[in-house]
Amino acid sequence: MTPSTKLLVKSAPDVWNRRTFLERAIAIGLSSTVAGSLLEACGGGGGTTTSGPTTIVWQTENDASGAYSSIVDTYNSTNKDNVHVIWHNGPSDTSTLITLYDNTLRARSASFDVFNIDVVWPAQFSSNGWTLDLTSRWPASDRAKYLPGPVKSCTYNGAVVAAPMRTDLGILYYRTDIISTPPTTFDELTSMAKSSLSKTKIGYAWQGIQGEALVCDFVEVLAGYGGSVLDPNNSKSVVVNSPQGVQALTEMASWVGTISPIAITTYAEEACRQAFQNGDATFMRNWPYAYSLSNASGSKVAGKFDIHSLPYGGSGTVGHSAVGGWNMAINANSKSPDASWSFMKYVLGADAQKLLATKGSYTPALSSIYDDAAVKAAQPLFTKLAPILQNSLPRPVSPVYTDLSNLIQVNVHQALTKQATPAAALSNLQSQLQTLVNK
Amino acid sequence: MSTTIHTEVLPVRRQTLRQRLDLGSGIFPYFLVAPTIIIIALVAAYPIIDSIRLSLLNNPLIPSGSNFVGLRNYIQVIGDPAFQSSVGITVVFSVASVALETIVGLAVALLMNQVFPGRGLVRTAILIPFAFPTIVSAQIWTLMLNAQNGVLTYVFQSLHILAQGDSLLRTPSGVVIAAVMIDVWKTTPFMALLLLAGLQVIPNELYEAAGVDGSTRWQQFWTITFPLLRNALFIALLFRILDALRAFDLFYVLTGGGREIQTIALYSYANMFVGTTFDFAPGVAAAVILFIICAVVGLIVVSATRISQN
Repeated sequence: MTPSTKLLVKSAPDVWNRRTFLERAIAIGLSSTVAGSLLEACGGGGGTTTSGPTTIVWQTENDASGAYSSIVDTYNSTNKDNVHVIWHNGPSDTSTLITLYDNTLRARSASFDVFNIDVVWPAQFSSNGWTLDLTSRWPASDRAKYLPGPVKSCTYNGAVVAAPMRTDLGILYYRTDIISTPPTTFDELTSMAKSSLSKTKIGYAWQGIQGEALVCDFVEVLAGYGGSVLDPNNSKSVVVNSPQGVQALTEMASWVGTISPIAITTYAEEACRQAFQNGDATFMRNWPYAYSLSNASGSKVAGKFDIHSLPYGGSGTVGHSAVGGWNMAINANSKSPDASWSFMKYVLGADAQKLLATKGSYTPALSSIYDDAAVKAAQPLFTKLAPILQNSLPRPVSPVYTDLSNLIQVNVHQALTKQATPAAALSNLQSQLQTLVNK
Repeated sequence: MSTTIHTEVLPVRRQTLRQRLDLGSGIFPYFLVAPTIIIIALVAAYPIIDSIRLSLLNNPLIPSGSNFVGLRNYIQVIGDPAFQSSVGITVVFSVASVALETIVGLAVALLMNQVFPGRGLVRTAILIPFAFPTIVSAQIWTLMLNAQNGVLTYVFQSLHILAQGDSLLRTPSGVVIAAVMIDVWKTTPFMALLLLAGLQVIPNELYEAAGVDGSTRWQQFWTITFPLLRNALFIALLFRILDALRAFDLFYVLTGGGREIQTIALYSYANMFVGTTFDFAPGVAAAVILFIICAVVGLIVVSATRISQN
């Protein structure tokens, strides 16, 4: 008898509740997503069983480090909340993830209870009524223990609509065997990268593909030149078409085909990391996740690189990193908000946050992790992050963020691919953004 | 013996609607086809009609309810430069890919219609590209066209078609060229197979008779093969044009979901499911516009078939 038929015969006389259904479905090879949707199709009949733990589903962005599954396994085996968590790993592409969220939440479905949202989504999600208000559950005294930027990104219209799980920030990776002192300005970066072209194929690898990462890269250079997309004091006023904006975009466009290959406009994070890891790039702008992977065995640059804050230019005096990262929210349609919050509290706690840092080289949201000796020993990256975090900046905050991001992506990309001059692209972007925020 | 052949055309007599509906068996035949009609109405007609309804609403996704706004979404979509460029890309892609597929497909079908050893193997082998799901073959090609280590990028750079460090997927025109290339690779076998089926029903005697009369191969093609193949060709064209107009997965993979280069289908998808809730109804309007374009093109091809038959 094959294992799967044995399982079916054995289980036939039992009455299946939600939990056993999910377990057996997973055992016979149904993915948990499919099993979850089947349950959903049953109209939530198994949602509340009288005995046994409450099962909740945690949908996240893609995690390849194994840190997320360790968190879930540890929680499931140790928690005293009588909660069982099923983890759904997400697609590697963020726009596919938001499609999943849009479809599920617009249908008012509860196929996941806790879900991770990009740091730029809370405004948009909560204005649609998709997330549960956490203000009363999460006291201000507790919130103060987390990095202020990520906490701020979870607040919309005075309410706390999500909780920060981990942050992300753009950092400059450089090869210590080629560059002795890292650059502080874009001019230095350009000239160093140019002279390094005899040693590596790519001087500077960054994310030029039309996508969310390009928005981050653009916002960073823009802030390095002292510009910004929206007026910091008035979110209805677009100020991207400024002299600083033109300088920043001209600088970026000048890299294409010189210190970066002409096809840099098709590179996302992973393409950059692969080039860097293969020893093909001297400089790279990327997130902290690339640190542990580039130091792993098999990497050609293990032990031969270091990180530094991003450069600045023009009248700027300090480089800024765009804040990325992921916040956790509770689905407003969840049938188990209390169990969901119990699990979230665990992920926000020191044990889980430390696991994120050591296992995934992710930058957690809990401030105390950055002073933890064990974390610093496991990931030397953390000894250098504090000053970079200080100067990190959020991307523009807007309830129609995906539209705003799309306009930035398309116009900046057109300047990079020389379909428009930087000045023309910015003036287009300015008028399109102004129409959007006036809506 | 006459060299032209026409299928017997029955004399057409004008009938009243009632005569046309009543074929002598009362309502019983209608009763038998009713389940099919009901299912088609549920799974095809209802979604189409509901899409049209949604496209006339303000924002169907907000809980507070939405109101009827007439053609506002259509006006917004037609005025959107991104939509206009998506129409251009869809048309260029459809015309280029279908034209190339027809020419290459016809040539392949004529070759496969010859008797040669291993013909069965060739017919099977040629179908392999068509057997791949588009999303898979598009991903394979994307890897081959990748800027860093794509094999085709390497070949193009060695041949100096591309500069060092360049990639075909860098520019919008490059993406459209790549899409046409992949589509021709993928669907030429489909075209060839449909045309081959048309070729096989042409009686061999016609060629023998033409050969006796001393005609050249070229004359045989234009006086026998092409006229008799016309119906099969129109059907194949109808399939391919409608498929090309709805192109989605190919561009989705090639652009990594980016929205600078998109077909009408991608434009409407991105608005419906990637954008904010305010973009949903305009996205549906774009989908309805695509439906209308497909319906009109379909009607034109079908009536062209009718005209050529008479």
